[in-house]
This record gives sequence, C-alpha cells and structure tokens, in this order.
Amino acid sequence: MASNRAAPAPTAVLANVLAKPEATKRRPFRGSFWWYLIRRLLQALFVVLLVTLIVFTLMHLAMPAGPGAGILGLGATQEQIDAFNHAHGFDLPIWQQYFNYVTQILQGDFGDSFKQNMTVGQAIALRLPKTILLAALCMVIALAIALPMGMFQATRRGRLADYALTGVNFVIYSTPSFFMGLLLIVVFAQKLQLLPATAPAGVPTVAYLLANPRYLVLPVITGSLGTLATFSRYMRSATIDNLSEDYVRTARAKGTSKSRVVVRHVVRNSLTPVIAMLGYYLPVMFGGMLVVEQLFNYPGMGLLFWRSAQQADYPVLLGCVLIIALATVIGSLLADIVQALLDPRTRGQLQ
Amino acid sequence: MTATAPTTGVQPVLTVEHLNVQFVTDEGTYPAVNDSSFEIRPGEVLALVGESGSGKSVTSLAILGLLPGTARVTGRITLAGESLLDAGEARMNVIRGASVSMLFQEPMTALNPTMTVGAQVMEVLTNHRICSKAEAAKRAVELLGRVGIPDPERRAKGYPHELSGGQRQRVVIAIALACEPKLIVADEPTTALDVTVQAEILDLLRKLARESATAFLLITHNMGVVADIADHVAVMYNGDIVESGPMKQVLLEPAADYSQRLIAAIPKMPAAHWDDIVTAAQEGTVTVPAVPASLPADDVRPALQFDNASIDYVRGGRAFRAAHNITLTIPEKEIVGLVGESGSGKSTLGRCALGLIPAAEGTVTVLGHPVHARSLLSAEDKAVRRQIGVIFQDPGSSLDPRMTIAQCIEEPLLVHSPEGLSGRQARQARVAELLDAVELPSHYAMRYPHELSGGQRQRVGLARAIVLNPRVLIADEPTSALDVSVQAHVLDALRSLQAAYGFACLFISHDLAVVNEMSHRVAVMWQGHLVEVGETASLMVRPQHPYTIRLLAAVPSPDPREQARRREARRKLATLDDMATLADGAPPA
Repeated sequence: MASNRAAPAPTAVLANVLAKPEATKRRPFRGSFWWYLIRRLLQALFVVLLVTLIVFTLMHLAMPAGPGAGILGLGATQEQIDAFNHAHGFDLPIWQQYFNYVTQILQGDFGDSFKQNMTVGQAIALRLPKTILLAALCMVIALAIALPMGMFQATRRGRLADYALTGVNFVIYSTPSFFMGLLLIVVFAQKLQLLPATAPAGVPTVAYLLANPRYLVLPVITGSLGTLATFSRYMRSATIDNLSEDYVRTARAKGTSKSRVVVRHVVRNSLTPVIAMLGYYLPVMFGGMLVVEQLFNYPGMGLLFWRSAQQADYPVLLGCVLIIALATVIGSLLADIVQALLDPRTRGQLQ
Repeated sequence: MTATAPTTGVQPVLTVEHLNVQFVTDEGTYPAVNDSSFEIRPGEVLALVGESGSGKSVTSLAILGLLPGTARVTGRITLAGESLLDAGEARMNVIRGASVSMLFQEPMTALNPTMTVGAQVMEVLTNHRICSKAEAAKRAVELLGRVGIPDPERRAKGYPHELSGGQRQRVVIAIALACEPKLIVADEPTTALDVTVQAEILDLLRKLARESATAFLLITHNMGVVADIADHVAVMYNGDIVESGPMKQVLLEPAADYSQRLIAAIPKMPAAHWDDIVTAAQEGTVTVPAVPASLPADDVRPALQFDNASIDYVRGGRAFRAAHNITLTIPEKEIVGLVGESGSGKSTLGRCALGLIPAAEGTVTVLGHPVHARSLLSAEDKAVRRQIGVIFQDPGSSLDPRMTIAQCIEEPLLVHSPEGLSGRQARQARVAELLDAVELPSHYAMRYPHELSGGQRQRVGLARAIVLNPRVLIADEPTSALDVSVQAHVLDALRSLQAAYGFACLFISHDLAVVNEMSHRVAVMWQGHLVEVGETASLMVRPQHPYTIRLLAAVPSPDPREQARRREARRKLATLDDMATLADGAPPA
C-alpha cells in the first residue's frame, strides 16, 4: 500500500489528460501574427537605419573636409568653402551630422539637392514612378514567360525541348545586361531603325511614356531577360521537386491524368517558393534598373542615383539609398508574409 | 513460380500471369520482378510479403501502370476480364481510382498540402464523373465519416497538416474507397503508423474487405499484419515468388527455404494470458501498478539512474514537458527495454542520459556521477560522458560519409584519448578488435560508409558506440530501419557484445517483440509518463497497466493463433467503454 502512496501519478495523470479542455485556450499576444509583424517592422527600421549609417560614414570618409569644395567649384576661396560648410552644418562632428540627418528624415525632410534646383523629395518623386513603371513591366513580362516555361521544361525534363531551353537560358543568364542592351540597340535601333534607342529628351512623364510605348520596348526587353532566365530556373526546379512528391502519385492513382495533375496539384505547390522569391528579388531589380536606365538614358531612379554619385550630390544619393533599403526590407517582409499565406501549413501559425 | 489460391468457383478479380519487370538504365538492365503469377478473388486479402528490394512494390505499381518510364513490363495483368498492360494511358486513367485504387506507405506526404481534404476526396469522384460537384462534396463528407474521421464536415474543409498520421491514412482510404473499386492495392499501409493506430487501420481494412467484397493486395514486410488480415500469402525474394498459399499454412509451416529463414528471423513474443487479462478488465480489477522506485535487490549497483527526472523542450518561448517525474534504474550489466509510441518521450530519456538535453527537475546519474547538459564540459563531465556509448536509428546518416569506417570508429578515441589507447598503433589495434567483435572483415576498415549495407553500417555504429568501453549504452531504435533478417543479425551482434563487455544498456524501441527478445526488464512510457516497469517475462504475458494492455493487444503477432487471441481480446477490451475510463475507474491495489 505504501508503494502506491509513493507513486500516485498514473491514475491522476490519466484523468488529467482526459479532462483537459484542448481548444479553449486563447493564444497569447506573443506569437500571434501582429506580434510577428511588429517585430519584423522594428527589424526593418533597424536595417534601414544601419544602411543610412554606413552610407553616411562612407561619404564622410570620401570627403572628410565636407562637400563645400566640390560643390562650389575650383574658383571658390577657402573662406567661401568654410562658410558654406558652416552654413550647412558640415563642420560639426560626424555623429552630430548623422543625428541631424536622421531627425530631418523622421520629419519627412530629405534635404535639398546640391546640384539641382529642387529638394531631394521632389527629385525622387519625379523619378521613382518611372522606375516603378519600368521595373513592374519587366517583372510582369518576365514572369508571364518564365513561369509557364519552367513548368514546361519540368514536365519534359531530360528531353530535347528541356535541353534547348536550358541552353538558351544559360546564354541569357551569362550575358551582362549592358551588353545585351547594346546588342539590342545596334540591331533594332541602328540597323533596322525600328525602335528608339533612348528616351525622349527632357524628363518625360509616366503618362507620356504610356502614350508612347515605343520608348519602353528596348529597356523593358533588356531589363526582363535576366529575370526571365532566373525565374524560369526557379520554376523548373520547384516543379521538378513537386512532381516527385508522394501526393502526385496519390493523384495519379485516383485516375487524374498527368497534365491535370500538373494543373490541379503541382502548379500551386511550386508557385509558393517562387512567389516568395519575388520579394527578395526586389532590390536585385533596382540594381538592374540602374544599368538599363543608364544605357537607354531613361529618366528613373537609377539614372538619378548614378548622376548624383558622379556629382557628389550628397543628399540625393542618401535619399536614393534610403529608398532602396526600404524596398529591400519591405520586399523581404512581403515575401515572408505571402509565403506564409500561400501555404496552409504556415497560415495556421500566423493567425 | 505460380501462386494459385484454391479455386472457390468465384472468378478472380485480378489475375497476374508471368509478370516480368525490368529497369533499363544507362548502366544496364536490372530485373525487378521475374515471372510472377498470382490471383485474387472478391473479398480476399492477398499479402505479398518480402524484404526491401524483393520486388513487391514494383509489382503493385505495375498493376496500376504507375511505373517510371525506365521500366519494361511483360506478361499479363487482367482486372475483371480486361488486360491492363494493353490498356492505353487514357483507358488507365479511367480504371485507376474507379476499378483499382491504391493506399500508400507514407500518409504524411501522400496528400496535397495546399488542397483541402474534402477537395482531394471529391477529385476522385469528379474524375470518374460519378456525380455532380455538389453531390461529390456531400459524398466526400460521408466517406470521411465512414472511415472514422471525427467531425467530417469540419475536417473536409481543413488541410492535411491538421490531421494526425492515422487520420491522414484514413483520408487516403476514403479516396481509395470512393468509387467502390474491385481491387485496392495497399502498399505498406500501416508501416509508418504507431501500433495502436495500425491496429485501428487494420480493423477498418478488414471490415471493408468483408462488407464490400473488395479484393485487397496487401504489400507488407510485417508478418504480424499478414497474420491479422491476410487470407493468402505470397512470399517474394529477389523478384521471385518463392512460396504461396493460405496464410496459416505459409506462416506456420513455411515450405520454401527463404520463407523458413524469414519467419525464423522474426522476433517472437510469448503468448499472453489474454483470458486472465480480459476477465480482470471485465471485472474491473485492472489496477494501475506502482512504478517500482527502487531496485529489486539492494546489492546491484545502478549504471544509469533517473531520479524523479522531468525533461522540458522549449519552443517559441514556451516549455513543453516531454517527460514527467521519471524514476528508472538501469543496473550494471543489464539490458532494460524502453517501449512507447511516437511522442511518448522515450527518445527524450535517451537524449537526457547522453547529456544532450538537461533535466528540468530531478537528476540523472551514470555510475553515481551526475550527467550535465552544459556546452562547456569540465574534466569530470568528460569522464562521465566517456562512460556512455550511443547507437542511433539511421545507420546511413549517423556515419560521416567522408570518413572511412576506421576513422568513424576511431573518432571517440581521438576526442577522449583514454589511457593506453592514445597511440596511433593502439588505436588501430582497438579498431581491428572491434571490427572483429561485430563480425566485419578487417579490410572494411578502409572503406567508406556508402560502400556498406544498412546492417553492416549499423554494426559499425555498434563498434563506435563501445570503442571507449563504456559502462552504459544507449541504443535508440537501433534496428528500426533494417529488414527483419538483417535486424536479427544486428541484434545478435549487440547481445554477444553485451555478454562480452558487460555494459548496461537502455534499449529504446517501439517494437515490443524486439524488446522482448533483447531485454531483462521492460519500461513502458506513455505521453511522457513511465506507466509500468517489470521483468520482461512477466510484463509480456501479464501486463498490469491499462495502457500496456492496450499496447500489447495492438501489436500484431506473426503467429496466426496468437494473433486471433489478441484480436479477440482487443475486441472485448474495446467494448469496455475505453481503456482510459478503465484506467481511471481502477481502484489502487
């Protein structure tokens, strides 16, 4: 009897396990979707701050005496330069300059351009929509071709069509986009004279570009080819992975034909990782636009970034970096959320 | 060789005649099935048994026409008068799912993760235009209810990941049943499931075969499953059917050489006292036994001791208690079997003894020294660790593929450099000695793990586990990934090593029969609690705890007579409300 009093656990435990109401517990705030979102946004903020700090420091190292000499030109006297630096606060210690800059940004003020007669906000507002237009067109067109192409290759894996497309893919992938763009200019603009090689002079509006899509053709082709090659590879391997999953065999055993299995079951499962990839691809896209815009003289963020870097237009450069950093963190946040929403296994954990 | 079921006048549903399957690859042609013939009648269960690579799964895929493009199939497969090998792909899509359907081994991955459960059941109905979409949705819910899914309306709208393995297998069964096929091919349908779940699924399959006159082709390696539900058995070996006949005849008096060896290799369990157990349960005198907290004899020195140990896993900031107040002693030179189903916490105990996870409460000691789970080990901690050897379940992934067998076995010596074994020559001599002890040829020392078979790799694992001459060996499911004949050899090797070196062993396994053959005493875990500990001989024939009774009744015995008794006992015990109520209502002894 004594031994029983020493170990009463099992009976009590069995009763406990049975009596425990399972689903009535409310999820705590920690671990909920909103908690996750807040945490990710704080992380994003930290990353953006870190990026500005790095760029700010780099530029200070490049111009330790302040940008006055560069901006005022060779004719300026030392007094004039000192006066300029003092007026703009460039003679303050760097940490103070950085602090001022961050305070300014938090008030929505990105400062004035040194070289153009406008604020940084105005400069970006003028250019950003055009880059978004170009990048979105590139993305949509590349995906519209890449996703079906990757699926087509996966279903014909190891056959002639797959090898041929893979070959084309590798050629595109390994050709730098500036070279590809030059080829296109030489062929379509110079020899055949079918399309314009550069955007119209001045700074055309988005509406103008949409009304005259001729100007967009060559930049969009150049910008989308690399994306096309990348994403058709992703889609091909994601589809191949899914085709060898057990659920495909189950579907086949139900009497679902091979092509219907792909359409009904495989596409959605293969798209999940590919769509999530898009978010991470956003900054890569921006980098690509820099080259394309430069090549076709297309008046977007890339060109703005390039010009202000050349002209040491400090505030504009920082503004551009800030926008790209924002795009990067928002892109990866979107990627995580989209992936979680697409997959019912993770969807449950978020809600 | 021909396997013919005794003619009963009923036309067979499926006839397979002279089936040959070869795989044509760049390196050559490999035969997978040679000249196999068998037939199945309505309502009959034919078990196709054999070890891995015997060609049994290839046979099943050949019937459904789902072999990969590299397979060359000849012979005749006739389903209800229609030749399947002559049917084109379009015709096969009509047949698959409607006339013949299939169950698979891996319920965890057999369903599309991004499609609702209901839609996946509906698909088979709409594929074959059995009914309209709205009707199919209704039928899907009915089918889910019929295969025993609780709350089928809600489950039909949910996704597979919300279901347990057993429930997912029920969904796959619902899909297979939907069009009332003449034949269901079941490829290892219960292998991935816990025994109590397996017993439920087998009950369901048996009921379906009886009720609907569906014929079953059951592919399995588990003779207990065969003894439970098969009417006829065909034994495959290396692509040949070496023997076939009525189930009892093949299992009790196997004629072919290979069948005899196969059946001899199956770990045995004694016949339990089912009459006493059931009577006790019916009279309500089943008691929850007290787990003995101390050793039976005081003069035995404990090698490994859990003293009121509780173990937590922390995930996402929240702790989950995987083991509650475990008190268990493994005396020197004794093998203690630890059994339980997945998630019962048995591997957690092993990991804790190895110092991989800390005990949240209580203590774990090896030869009287506490085991710590800190990342920075003191000299004393290291000395304790040296006394513990470990062997894992998967012989493939627990050896470094880039190290030779000798290096794998030698590594613990380099880490601990024990006295007398620090020189290069001493180490090599020790490796040679151990290779000999696990009966591997000495020239294997220079080979790499991928050149060895699963059983050989597990022997290397054994050799590595005892290279430091530990006083305690933790064996976590050491033979679960192996075929039954290979398992027998590895278990033999472990037994003779234990006799020669005299270490104590915590033998963790889900397989009661293996534990029965290996251990002196058995401990049973359930949901993180140690529910019963006892001498193997008595626990296996007269279990005390309601959970142990339920577990034992669920393990299918390869002896058809014992299996019939177990099934009967299971049926009677199931009528007594359920085991939990039984346990709850049991007065303490």
